[in-house]
Amino acid sequence: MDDVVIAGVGMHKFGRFPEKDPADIAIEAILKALKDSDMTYQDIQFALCGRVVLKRPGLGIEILAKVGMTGIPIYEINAMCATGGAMLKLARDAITSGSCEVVLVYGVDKHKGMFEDLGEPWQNRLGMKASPISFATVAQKYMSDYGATEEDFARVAVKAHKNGAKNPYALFQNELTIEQVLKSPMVAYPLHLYNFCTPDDGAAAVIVCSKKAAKKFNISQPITIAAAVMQTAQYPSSVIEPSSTASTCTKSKAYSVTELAARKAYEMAGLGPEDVNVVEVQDTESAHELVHIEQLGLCKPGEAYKLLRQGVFDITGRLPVNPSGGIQCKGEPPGASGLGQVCEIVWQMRGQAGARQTNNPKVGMCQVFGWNHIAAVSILKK
Amino acid sequence: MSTNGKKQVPLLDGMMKLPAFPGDTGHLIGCKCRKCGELFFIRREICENCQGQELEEIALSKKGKLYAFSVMFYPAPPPYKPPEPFVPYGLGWIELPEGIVLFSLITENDPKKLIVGMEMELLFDKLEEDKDGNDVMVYKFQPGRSG
Ligand SMILES: [Zn+2]
Repeated sequence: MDDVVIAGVGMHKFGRFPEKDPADIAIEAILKALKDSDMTYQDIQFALCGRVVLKRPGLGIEILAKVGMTGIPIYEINAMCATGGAMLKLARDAITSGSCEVVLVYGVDKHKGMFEDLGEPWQNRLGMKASPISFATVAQKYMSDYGATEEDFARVAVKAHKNGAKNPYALFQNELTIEQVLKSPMVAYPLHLYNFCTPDDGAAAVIVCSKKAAKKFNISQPITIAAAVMQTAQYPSSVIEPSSTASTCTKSKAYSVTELAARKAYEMAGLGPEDVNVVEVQDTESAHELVHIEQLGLCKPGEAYKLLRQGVFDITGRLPVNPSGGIQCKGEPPGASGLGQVCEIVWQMRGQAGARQTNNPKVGMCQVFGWNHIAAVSILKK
Repeated sequence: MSTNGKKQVPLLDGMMKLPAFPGDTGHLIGCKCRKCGELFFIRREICENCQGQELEEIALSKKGKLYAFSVMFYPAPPPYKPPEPFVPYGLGWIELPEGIVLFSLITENDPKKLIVGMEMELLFDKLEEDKDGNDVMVYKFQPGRSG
């Protein structure tokens, strides 16, 4: 199925813009994506808006109306941190179903502090499900199972910041040392402050169209969406995957939502992990970057931290991971972060990533994971 | 067991059976699906596995093994009420012999003293007093005294 392509992408810098209205942040990303595609707003037939934290009722529709009142349908999507990938799947489905040919997908958020209501009320009263804890227990298990160390997690943050320092769209554009990460305060054992992403503001937009439309509009360098999958938990849920689950069974083999999604995505694309040249994964904190690389099948379980030490995941390595710096550097506006990954992979595949450019990737992958067992995986190809 | 005429009440209905008389130890409440046999911690109406709606209440083991853990060095956001001054607190997944893992507060807050696989034991602890003066009780696990 090579019928659906990305025609244009655009981003508003991820960062902190307390004075700026979220609608204006989103509109900047949308106008950039339109310009990038050489299409006009009149060509858009369907729109999806992702936002997770922003509470303003009707904001997605308001944004669209401000760009132009063309009467098209729009839906607002919230799939937690997996929102961007989830929307890409919906856009692809809308086009393959034949109901439309050109879709505008955009995400925007303003996010600060921790989520206050991730778990069930009794869990929150006990402070059991604050997001750092849920991620930290997975990191601890990874160390215990495979022999990785806090220093390895620090190395992930160092690599992220080396890349983020080259990304004008990133919140943090500074390099870090292993010592700086290890000396930053311990938030939730074994993870330090500099291992975590930071919630922030931002927007990203992607224009998706049929291959036929891409020809008609003479799109240069269209990038094919070879697969787009969204996945929730399948019983028995993965034991320590961040979620509000109070208990789960350990008698039968459990698969993480990312593993399940990746398997479907490879099948849909007719490609395997060995074909992937560049990848953006959900790096809520450093440990999950490694965990997600393994869950995507890009290396064996327990191998990612060793490959990291060898430089395999560097921009110059065999399989660059998060050349954008990930959300460890960009920060995470959850409604926009998944599309931020898509923007990066598209730039990488077109050779437009500037100082972050990887070695001529032909196949790229995006993975987002969110609270309560939800993931989205997409495969893009030239 | 009550002191000063106060009652002990569980934080959540269906979560635990508190000790009712001297010598009683109480237990956590599990429920087992009559259709597929899957087991869950805390009473529930629907089986996550087969959607069966007949679940039988059972007493869960009071001992298990530490499966994974963390120690939180900053207070969680509200409604968590941190003690003054704040003390880092431990949390972990406890694997029970029944073949389930459940998430729990743990009494130890020094990561160096926690090891995956170590024996853990159930205890009940007072969280706060409710408006009627009853002790609201929560479950926790502590490293086994033998270990
Ligand atoms: Zn059942």
